[in-house]
Amino acid sequence: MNPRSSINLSTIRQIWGILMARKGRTALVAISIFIGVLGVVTLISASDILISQLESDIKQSELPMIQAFIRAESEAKPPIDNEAHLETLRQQSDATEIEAQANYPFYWRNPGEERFDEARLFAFSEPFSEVDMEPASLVKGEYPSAGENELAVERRMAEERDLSVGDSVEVRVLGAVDGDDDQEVPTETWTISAIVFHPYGQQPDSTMFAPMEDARYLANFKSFSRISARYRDFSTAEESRDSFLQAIADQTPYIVIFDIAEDPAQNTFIQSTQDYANVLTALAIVALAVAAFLVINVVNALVIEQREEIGVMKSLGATRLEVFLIYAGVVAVYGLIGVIPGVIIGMPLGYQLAVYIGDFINAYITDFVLSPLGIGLGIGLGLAVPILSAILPVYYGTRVTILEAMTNLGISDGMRGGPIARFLKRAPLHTNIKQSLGNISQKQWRFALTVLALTIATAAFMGVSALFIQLDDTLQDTLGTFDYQAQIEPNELQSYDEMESLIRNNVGGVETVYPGTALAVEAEGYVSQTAGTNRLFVLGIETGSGLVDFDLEAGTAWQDDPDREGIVLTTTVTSQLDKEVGDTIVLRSASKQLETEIIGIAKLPLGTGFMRWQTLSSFAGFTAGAPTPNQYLTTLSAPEQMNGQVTAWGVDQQVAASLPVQDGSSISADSPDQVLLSQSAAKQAELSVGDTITLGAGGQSRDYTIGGVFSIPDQLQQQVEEDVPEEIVVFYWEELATLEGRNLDGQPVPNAFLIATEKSEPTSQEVDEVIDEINSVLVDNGITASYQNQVQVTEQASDAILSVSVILNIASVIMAAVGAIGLLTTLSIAVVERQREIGVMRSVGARSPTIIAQFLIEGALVGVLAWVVALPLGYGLGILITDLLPVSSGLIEFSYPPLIVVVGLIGVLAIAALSSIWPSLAAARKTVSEILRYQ
Amino acid sequence: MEPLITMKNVSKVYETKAGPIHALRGVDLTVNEGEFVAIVGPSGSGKSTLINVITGIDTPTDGEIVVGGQRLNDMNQDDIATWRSKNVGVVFQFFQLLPTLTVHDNVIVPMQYANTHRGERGERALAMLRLVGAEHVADQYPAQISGGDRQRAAIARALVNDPVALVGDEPTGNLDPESAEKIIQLFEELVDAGKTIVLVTHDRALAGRLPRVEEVRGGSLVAEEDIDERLLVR
Amino acid sequence: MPFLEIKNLVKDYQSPAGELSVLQGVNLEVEKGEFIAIVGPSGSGKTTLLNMITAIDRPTSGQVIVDGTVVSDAGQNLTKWRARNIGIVFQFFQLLPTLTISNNVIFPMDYADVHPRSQRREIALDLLEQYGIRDQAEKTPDMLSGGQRQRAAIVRGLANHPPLLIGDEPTSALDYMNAKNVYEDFKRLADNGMTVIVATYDYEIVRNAPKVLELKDGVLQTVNLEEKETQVA
Repeated sequence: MNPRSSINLSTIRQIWGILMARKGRTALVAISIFIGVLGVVTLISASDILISQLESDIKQSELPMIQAFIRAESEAKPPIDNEAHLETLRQQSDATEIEAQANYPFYWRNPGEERFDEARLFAFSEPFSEVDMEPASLVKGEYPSAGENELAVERRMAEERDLSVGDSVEVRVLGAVDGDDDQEVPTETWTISAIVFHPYGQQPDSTMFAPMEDARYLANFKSFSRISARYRDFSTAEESRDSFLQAIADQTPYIVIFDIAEDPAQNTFIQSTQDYANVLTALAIVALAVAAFLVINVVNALVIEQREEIGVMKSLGATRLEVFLIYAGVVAVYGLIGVIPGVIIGMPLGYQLAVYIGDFINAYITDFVLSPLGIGLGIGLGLAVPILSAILPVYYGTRVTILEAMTNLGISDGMRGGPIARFLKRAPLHTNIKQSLGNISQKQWRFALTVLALTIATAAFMGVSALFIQLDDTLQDTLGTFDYQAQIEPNELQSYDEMESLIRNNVGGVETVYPGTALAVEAEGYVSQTAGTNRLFVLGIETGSGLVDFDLEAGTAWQDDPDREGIVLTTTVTSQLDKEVGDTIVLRSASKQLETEIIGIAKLPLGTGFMRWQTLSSFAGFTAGAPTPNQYLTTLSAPEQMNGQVTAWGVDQQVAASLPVQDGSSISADSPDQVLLSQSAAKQAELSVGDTITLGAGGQSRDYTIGGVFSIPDQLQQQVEEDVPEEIVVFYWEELATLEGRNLDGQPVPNAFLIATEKSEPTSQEVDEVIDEINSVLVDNGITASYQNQVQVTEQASDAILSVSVILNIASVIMAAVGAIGLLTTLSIAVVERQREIGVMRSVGARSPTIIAQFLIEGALVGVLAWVVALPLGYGLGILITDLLPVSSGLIEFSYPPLIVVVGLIGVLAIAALSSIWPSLAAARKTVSEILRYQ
Repeated sequence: MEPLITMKNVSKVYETKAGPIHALRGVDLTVNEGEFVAIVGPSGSGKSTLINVITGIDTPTDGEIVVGGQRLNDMNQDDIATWRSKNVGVVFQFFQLLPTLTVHDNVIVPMQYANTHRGERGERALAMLRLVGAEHVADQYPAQISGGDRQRAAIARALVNDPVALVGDEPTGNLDPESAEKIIQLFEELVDAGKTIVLVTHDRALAGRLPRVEEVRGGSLVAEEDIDERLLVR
Repeated sequence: MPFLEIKNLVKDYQSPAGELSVLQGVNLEVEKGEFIAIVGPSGSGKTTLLNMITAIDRPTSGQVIVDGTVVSDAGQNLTKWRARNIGIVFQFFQLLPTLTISNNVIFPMDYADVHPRSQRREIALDLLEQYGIRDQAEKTPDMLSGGQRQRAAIVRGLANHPPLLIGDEPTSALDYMNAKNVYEDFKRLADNGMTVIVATYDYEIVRNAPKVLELKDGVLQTVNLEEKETQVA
């Protein structure tokens, strides 16, 4: 065979001729390939751009392996020498790097504005240019210098708020007040010295940066908010984690609220983007698959229609391969016509989509960039898929021998034996229906593909709609469960009574202030599905208050006994842990552990647990009023000789041993029933070593043996802050606490306050106003806090769900459209093919309604069959999408609302009916000879 | 008595990309009831168009066509279809059986369209098939049977509504001489019983056998004395 | 050696109604440069016989040898050989509908690779000129009348100047005068060395062919055209 003649001018002419002869069909196929390619280019470009951007912005070497989120113990008196504690940790640990950050709310405004906006003030423990972990890189200007009243702005905030280097802003100096009621919080004017890029932050559109001292001055905080550590490698980090947390607990006045250990190689930034990318890619593939089905359909019809011509071409010297090349060429052109606009439009569209999604996941897409991967795949698949889809039909189509092709007179091959034929023979159906069923079974190949295309499109639509309704329902449910609208988390622990009266007395619109504890713990065996943490979020609540209205699946929670100990978990958690009411669960926070019983299972789409706040605060170490040894001075009831009372001093072992004991020996932890008396006290009490002395507190009395008498050293006064009288009794501090009935740990203090507004369903705006009022009251009293507008959070979640479902809906509508185009094409091809059949029917007396009914029945049968196949497919697809989407996976179980099932059926029938009526109407009006003369 | 078929000055012009084609030019033709007519002529002469006009399958551009007292000119396609199913049986080469129905069902279909013979359609269909000698293929599909059987079944279908006229194009073209003879004899019986039959044929023996022959040449009917005897065998 | 040899050609078809024997032992010898017409009524098997010669169909038994090539051999793929050696004029013309007339004629040239590429268009246009349809060259088949289409089909058959021309009812759409002209042309081609075989049912036009055989009862017989009747079985 001469290879040169395989593709020649005649090949080209034939290709051109076939394309031009059926312009409508060419357009239809090209459009669906276009849609498929557009989908691939857009979606894959978007995910490629996102991931590339993140990979370049977020460097593994800059990510911490362990992060400990901390706050200061409530007893720790300022100023805490944070830097010194950091140094201690560095020396103790084998971490390669340890750095700390402070991230606190502060208030600023543009000069001339009235209202202050809340933003986050971020500071590093190291100078800006020396930060190793999650640094802020300089984009413009110079890093702010300490003491120069300078700030840096994150670039996204700069864009959002139109700020530039050199601009002035007014800031509230929270550090200047410090609890003094009369003083007003002053405002200063600071300058923006730099614009920085901080890809690691969570709120880049409202973050500013300052040197650590300046930040303290502005935001008034006591301690760092986070300590980060890196090790030689991640497994070392995992091994060292416990000792690291222990060191923080023991060596520093910090409490670890929660900690994360994350392998920089598998960080969540890229993970969550990858998840989105997977969904997008899946959608792209589905779009292309549907387009492929259409191509198969059309090409198959084409070669069948052109049977005779194929025979003629062969008889004129075209080999089978040469004929194959002609049709392959036609398909390639279909592909090109679809690919070129698909790529051209997909490129900017993909970029826009990346920017849009980037907003949700804090990825900052800079300038317009192309994704070679997206474009390449778009072109490659756009050409490959049609050609590959067409190979089989063209292969079979060109197999026809010249003889077969040219002796094809009259109506094409009819039914022979076969199970369907035999069934139809006997079935007592009207001939119209028998004819329809027969026709359907005849075009099996093409019909099956059309049904599949329509099915997938229908299934996608049904599945996605169902999912959307699900998500929305779930959201409404969630809203109804929580009866508070705002949440306040003060930087330092505050007492409930103080906060409550402050707010109640000064702020209108607040109905109730509830104490609460917000904590993220590790629950044994649990891994949260939402991106980011493998922590279980536990909310400590006032259990008798009705604040949270649980929809309990099992257990009674606190319905009968609000003081009951235990935890209520959501179904999300218990299903993963496979636990029931009555089982226990072990919670871990830093190095502490708590085993608690599951007393209820609530139906909520969150991974959350609920406990009594007092229990949770105690567990977390949010306590106040715990006695501190050596600082512990109190008054006890004493024998008459001592005027009925005496000052008692609780000390630890060390101090006890350092007291100059004249008589007897010092006390120790081993002998808690022994006390020391000062010389004056001993004289006053007329007691000596070995005597018993009765001391009491709060109604209780106990006998103690006098173990020794000591003289008060001079340093004593220095050691203890308060004035110490001459007559004192020295206890081992724990025993003193026991005597007084004081908790060694102190009383639990809430770390959050939940606000229920007077108005039962306020708007987000109204909640903001209440928050603003509370904020100004608290700030005036030296209390800084973070605020959360629950209504706004819910709205944002709803927006996110809405936008995801909008994207999915658009995708599925497009797929449904392609499926309908496919059905239309198939049926119109069928009509062309079946002109003779229509002619026959007419010639034996069929009127137009009968003919139209014929096609309608066929279309409807196709529609019903598609719907029947669509149900399980849609179910499977829905489950798949639910699992892939980070938003919904793990939270929602997919199921079909009956409304969607009915709507789906109606929709499919409508599409099928419309597609089938149109071609048959056209035929109905012609005379029989016109029908035949169609070609 | 009124003629059954009357064509007055019937012309038919087709517009094609190659220009107008004058398929029929002012044709006048009358056929009385009980006649048995052969239409002959070379390919492309217009004879197919002629019988298309008689059966209402095509409409004249000019002139009048009346069949059985019914003026076909202005009827819409649906009414023509109904009229045809009751009055004219059609056996054309291209109008074969519906491929997705059995032979038996195929013969039943015209009765459904014309809404005739309720309650006895199945039996009547079988009777028709027996008449033409095709009852042995009643339960099979057209693709399963020979061309000859298909043709016989088509004839049975054409007769099932007891039409007053039967019009055919090469109705015996696919049959072997024996079967063809049987069919022609059947036609002769039907004509004796009062039916009118018009056939287009290339079969010279058949044409010569029929009592009346019309030749179409270049869109017009040829006068009897000018008929090309070579087209016939008498 | 005769150019074409047909030996004892038998062709049976299996049909659901039983076996049909279309060709029952055809024998024929044709010399190079002969012009033969095969006549017979519709359905007598003429097309089948021609299909045997062009190797579009294969016999049940017997042999067909064209210019030394045994074309009746079931196994071979003779696409290119056929394109270069046989020009076919089909009964229903079968022009490719999306190509112009000239491109229709060029098509077999491109696939047979007989004429040099640069000359193909010129040859095609010349042939069309010969048959009086040069002015239709750039039109598509649907714009031509039946007769013009048939002439185009004949031109296409001649496109590669094949040694053998086969025509199935090649003048059915032409009026008598034009048909006669075509037969004259075939005679001329035969005189110049082309072997021409046509089949037709038209007992009149066929008289213009130098040699006529009748296909009857599945075999080729001589025929007396002067008589107006033949027996009908």
